[in-house]
Amino acid sequence: MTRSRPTKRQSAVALACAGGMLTTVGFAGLGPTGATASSHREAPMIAGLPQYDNTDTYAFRSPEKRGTITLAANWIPFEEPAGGPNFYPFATDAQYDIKVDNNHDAKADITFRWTFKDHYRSKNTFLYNNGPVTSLKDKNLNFYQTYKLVRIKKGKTKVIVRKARVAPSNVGEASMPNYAALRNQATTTPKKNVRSFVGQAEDPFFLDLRVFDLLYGGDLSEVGDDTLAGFNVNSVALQVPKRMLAKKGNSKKNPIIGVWSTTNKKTAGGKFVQVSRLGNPLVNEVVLPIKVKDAFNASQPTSDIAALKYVTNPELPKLIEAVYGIKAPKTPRNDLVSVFLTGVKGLNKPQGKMTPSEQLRLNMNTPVTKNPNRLGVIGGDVQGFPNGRRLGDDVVDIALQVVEGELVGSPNDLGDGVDGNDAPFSGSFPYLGLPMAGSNPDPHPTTGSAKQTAASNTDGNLLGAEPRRTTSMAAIGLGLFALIAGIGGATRRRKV
Amino acid sequence: MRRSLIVLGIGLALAISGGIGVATTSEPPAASTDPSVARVVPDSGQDLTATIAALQDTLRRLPEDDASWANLSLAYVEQARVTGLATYYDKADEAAARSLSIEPDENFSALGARGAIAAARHDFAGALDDADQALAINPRDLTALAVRVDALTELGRYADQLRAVRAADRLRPSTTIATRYAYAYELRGDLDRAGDVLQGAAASGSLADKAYPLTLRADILRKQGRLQAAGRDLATVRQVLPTYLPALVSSARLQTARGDLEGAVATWQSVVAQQPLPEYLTELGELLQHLGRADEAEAQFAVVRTTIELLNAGGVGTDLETALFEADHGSPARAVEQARAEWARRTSVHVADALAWALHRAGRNAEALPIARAATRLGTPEARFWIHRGTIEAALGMTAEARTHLQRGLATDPGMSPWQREEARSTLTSLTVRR
Amino acid sequence: MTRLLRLTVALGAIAMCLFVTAAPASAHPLGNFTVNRYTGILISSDGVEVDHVIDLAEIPTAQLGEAIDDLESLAERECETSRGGLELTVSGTAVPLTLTGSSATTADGEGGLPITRITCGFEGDAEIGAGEVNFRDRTAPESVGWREITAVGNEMTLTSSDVPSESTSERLTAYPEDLLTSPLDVTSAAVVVSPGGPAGTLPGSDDESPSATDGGWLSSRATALLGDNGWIAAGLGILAALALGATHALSPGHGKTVMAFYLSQRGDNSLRSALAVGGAVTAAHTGSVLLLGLLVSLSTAFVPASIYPYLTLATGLLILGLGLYLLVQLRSNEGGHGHGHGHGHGHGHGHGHGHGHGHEPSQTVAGNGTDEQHAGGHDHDHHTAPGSQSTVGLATATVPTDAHPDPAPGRWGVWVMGLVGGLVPSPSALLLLLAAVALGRAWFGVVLVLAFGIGMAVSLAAVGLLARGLVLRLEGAADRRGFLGGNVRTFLRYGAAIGICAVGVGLVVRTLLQL
Repeated sequence: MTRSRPTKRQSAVALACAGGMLTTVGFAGLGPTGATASSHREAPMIAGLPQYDNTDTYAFRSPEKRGTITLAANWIPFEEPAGGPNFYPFATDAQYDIKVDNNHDAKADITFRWTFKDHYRSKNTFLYNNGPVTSLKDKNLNFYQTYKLVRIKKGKTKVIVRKARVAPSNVGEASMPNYAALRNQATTTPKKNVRSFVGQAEDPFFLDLRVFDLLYGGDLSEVGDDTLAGFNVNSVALQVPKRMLAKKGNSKKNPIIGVWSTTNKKTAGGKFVQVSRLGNPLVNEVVLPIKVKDAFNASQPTSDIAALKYVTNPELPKLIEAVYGIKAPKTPRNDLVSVFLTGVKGLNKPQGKMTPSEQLRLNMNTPVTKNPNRLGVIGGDVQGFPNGRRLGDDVVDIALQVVEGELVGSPNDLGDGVDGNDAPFSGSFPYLGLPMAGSNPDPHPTTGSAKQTAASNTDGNLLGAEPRRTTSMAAIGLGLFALIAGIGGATRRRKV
Repeated sequence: MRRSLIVLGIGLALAISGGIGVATTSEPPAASTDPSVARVVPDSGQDLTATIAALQDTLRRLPEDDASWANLSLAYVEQARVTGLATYYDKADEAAARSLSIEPDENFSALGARGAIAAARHDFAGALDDADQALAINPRDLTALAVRVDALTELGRYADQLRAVRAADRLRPSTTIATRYAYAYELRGDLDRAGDVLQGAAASGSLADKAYPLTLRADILRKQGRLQAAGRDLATVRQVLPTYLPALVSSARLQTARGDLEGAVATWQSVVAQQPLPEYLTELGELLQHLGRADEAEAQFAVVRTTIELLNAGGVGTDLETALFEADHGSPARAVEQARAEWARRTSVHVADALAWALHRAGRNAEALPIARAATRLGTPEARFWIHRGTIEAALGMTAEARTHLQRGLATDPGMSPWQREEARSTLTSLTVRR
Repeated sequence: MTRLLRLTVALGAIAMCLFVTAAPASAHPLGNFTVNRYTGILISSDGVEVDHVIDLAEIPTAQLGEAIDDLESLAERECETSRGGLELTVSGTAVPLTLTGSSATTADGEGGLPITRITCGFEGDAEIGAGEVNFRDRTAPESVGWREITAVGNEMTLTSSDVPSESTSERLTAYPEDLLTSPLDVTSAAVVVSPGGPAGTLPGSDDESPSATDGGWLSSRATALLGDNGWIAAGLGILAALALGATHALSPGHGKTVMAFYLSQRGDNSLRSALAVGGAVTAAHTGSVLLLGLLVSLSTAFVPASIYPYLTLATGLLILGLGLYLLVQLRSNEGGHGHGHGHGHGHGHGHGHGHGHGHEPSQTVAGNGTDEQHAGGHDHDHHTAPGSQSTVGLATATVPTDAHPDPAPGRWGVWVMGLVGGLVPSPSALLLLLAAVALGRAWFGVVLVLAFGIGMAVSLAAVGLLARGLVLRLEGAADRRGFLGGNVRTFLRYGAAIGICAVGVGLVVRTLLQL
């Protein structure tokens, strides 16, 4: 250790020499981020609210029970099954609603409301299960939720389902060897022709999220991965007879309904306020500018007419024109108004007086298509989106093609390259795909996993940075050698 | 001859351009074709590290994506808070600037992020300004709402703070706002209400989100003397997030409150091994001093002094913790100077307390009294505030008030630094003797 | 190849100092209460070598308290503590590590407060065939800071590894500042190895920790380069030193002007004179670097930065003296110049260049001076003459040949020249020397410094010769046109002497102001 002293000195010298004389330079540009930064309350800034985040709403005529309509809505996107045990409960301080407007005044006439309660078998509140769970009521399931489903109509509340079990998060095959059985047990039939399911499902939405890159100059030719593959969501699904939804119970005469889902959260002050709203897919992503997104989530359909300018004069086609040279259709875009605000004439636009508003409109009388087309109405299949929305409707491609003018004589084949979901849908209620299991070693078979990226990132990225640095270093080295060669050459010439 | 000169010229040009190349390599590499992921939706519940990785990846593909730059900035701020790595604040700063340079108008996310950074750097006026600008664009931006509440709190504008936090709660109910809502009531002495709000916040939210409100509630329960309940909350947090530092700090104070001073020393030592912040070091030092371990105490104080030196070297004004430290364990004159400078900028109860105490230590009790009263103007259940006020009153011969306030302070938080409590007790005794 | 890369990197680093203003590394890049840890693992068939580095920022260093006064036992203690947290398993069996070496150094951080760097070497004996090697760093799990692991095989091949083989932070000496990179937080490594493969060494160096601390990346690169044994590395190192010296001489100062003037006095023997002066510069520079290096190694209190102004002052005085002497000489030698005229003319013809070309190099040189004064002035403040830009210009206008080579600037003149060029030691050269000494290869350091001096001398001589050629041609042109009636030479000579005086005065005044 005799070396340590001189080394210390030497390194000090090295520092002094190499960096220039520190003392004369001073300390410019230093932010006070150094030693202390916590003398005020450092509360979280981006605490997640995924439990209240509506991701999708579906409404379609049940394919095998044509007298009924299936309504479904999802919350909590990006549920990562792997690396757990991960379980994703519904919030207990929230009201999860699906709303139906059947007289076209943009106000909810029927509200289906789900509320949740937590239950623990033991006091260990963080243990999900103590052993294999073979049934919903298995004692090994330490934590479970129950829900209550009510229908609110004209201010009157009627309980449809009371204290039913929520299908648990699929934590893995060791814990839940037969998840399909749990799913079946979680499907209840409270009365004739009414069925209800609440629980985890594979996210039925499929898209390559990178399509949104095009808003920032990204390249559409690179898309084609279902970035939601292998992520789960929490779903509620409800099958009811058409008459329960139609105005005056008459679905023949009043076949068109508007549907949207909302989440209300209890404030610290104790009131419930709406924090999320979703009718048509992609409205928040594609139609509305980002600054009104939060306002839209808190808004009621009655005030939607204020958003008309965003619909008639959308930004997206202009961006696409700028980036890809695909000419934007002429504005004002009344075709978009019909998709998003009023319904398509002759299909799902109500007759008579109506208040335009953003809702998922469904004509309950449209016959069920035997072989559904993923492109729905623009694919010639009038039972699909935007006439309601089935689980398999490729809403991203539809929305892209529609905003690019498919309905106003500009046929196009734009798309995100993802034409179907990664997990199969079932042929009977609740139709949703089974959730990806936590034991699955690679739940995201495409490249779409945030986790994988995180891991591959550290490598690729760090290794990527180094060569760049050495490249410019090499340039300097080269320069220096050239320089000395030049000097050498000059002297030699003198000599001659 | 000419040729060699040309070679020389080219060599020089190469060398210089190479040098410039070096100087600019800190720029992120141009869009790589790294495959995969996802635009990140804020609030999507993705794990913060994964969120950051995904945003970094997105931005490598799309360097012009201003929204992702803003989100990345915010994620970096959050990561700085979680990990304590100051380098994230610098990164956050640059990311926000990047976002604003791409989209200077209507960029509320970047403004919000910038406000959060300003607040972290204790520039509360700047933070308020940024938050207001962001809210003018999007009145419901969660970050800006939170930053605004924080800034008003720290600036001592309590009437505005309460209005702001109530409005924020109506606009964006969330754990983010609820914790601030609870704090507003806590500051005003309504511990029950604050505790209830925190309990509600802890009941909702993801597992990781529970840690913060539960820790705060443990602090409140401790102040109320409900030590067992506080212990339960902290045990819960330990289960969810075993490495959560604020919970460790709260545990140390709980141990102090229970009289387990040796245990508290061990916990504090583990705290300062992770994040040697001046307030933690001071509290550990005072605890050691109280236990008669003067040498060890002095070692902690020496680290605080180093920190102060560092802050000075960085051209940063010292903050309240260091002012209080100077008052008790350093130079009261310097403490007065620092606290007064802070008082000129903001008039929160914490600044008032630090200034009053510094003045008292400097022997200027008459000046200190009105400021000590200002520190207790909200009825904040902060033991230090009342003890400081009572001590100042005792020095001014206001025996009755002094006794009331000292007793109130001693009754408020059994987890307070025992050295400070001891001083207060002896002052109280001397009052009784004098009578 | 990697050596070449390292070389270019080291060169680039030093060149950065020369061409780009070096940024003061003050605050710890990761925050001043971070404790950063790096672990490098070298897997051989008979065991594992572990290189563990701890970089403590200012506050953790302060938390060490008085322990920092005894670096030796501090290192031993910290390494022993760390050993308990480093878990190594080979094919599932835990392999105990033994401490083979420890060292600690301190360096100045923000505000002159110390920061600490502790280097530990461990060994674990195990028979390693094909199989898995796992490593976990459980030291101080919650402490804040950078965490990094690398793994390399020595005559073993890593068939899979979740950690890189090279250190991203150059063993905690250069933290990347990319906005899109998060600080590393890697605390475990899983590696699958199979026997066979090239010999490998731990990243950084295979030597047991030299580590010039936060002088950072630059010194670590230089050190790494020096640490390489073998002739190729040595040869490259010498070449690098030559190149560095050459470029260093081209930065402002260094008496290029004076050199040019001096050489222009030497007539036919200019090349020989150039060589002589070059030798003197090399000798003077090498001597002064060695002396300074010796002083630094002998005395703790000695700060080389403090001596620079004095050396610069001495240089300035020397130049001033020289200028004055020349003036005096000119006065006393008034009149005898016919011979020189003829010669100068002839020489100019021999090269047959016109006026236009004459200016080209002068612009290049002057431009170079200007650039560097702006870009690189920081590093060279201490010996940059305020008028260096204009003096370079002056040099091109310096008087040409002298018919009677003055005896006076003769022998001692060579040494004056040498001192002017080499008295102020280049920080880069000093750095090279110290790094080599720290590695226990002092002789190589001396060779490098020598090479550096030769590089300087060559480039100074070259510039001088170039300038001389120009001046000759200028004079020739002026003569042919009868400009100034044949008195060109006299004018130029006076001008040059006065110019040299001005440079000297400038240097002296400037240095005095700085002192």
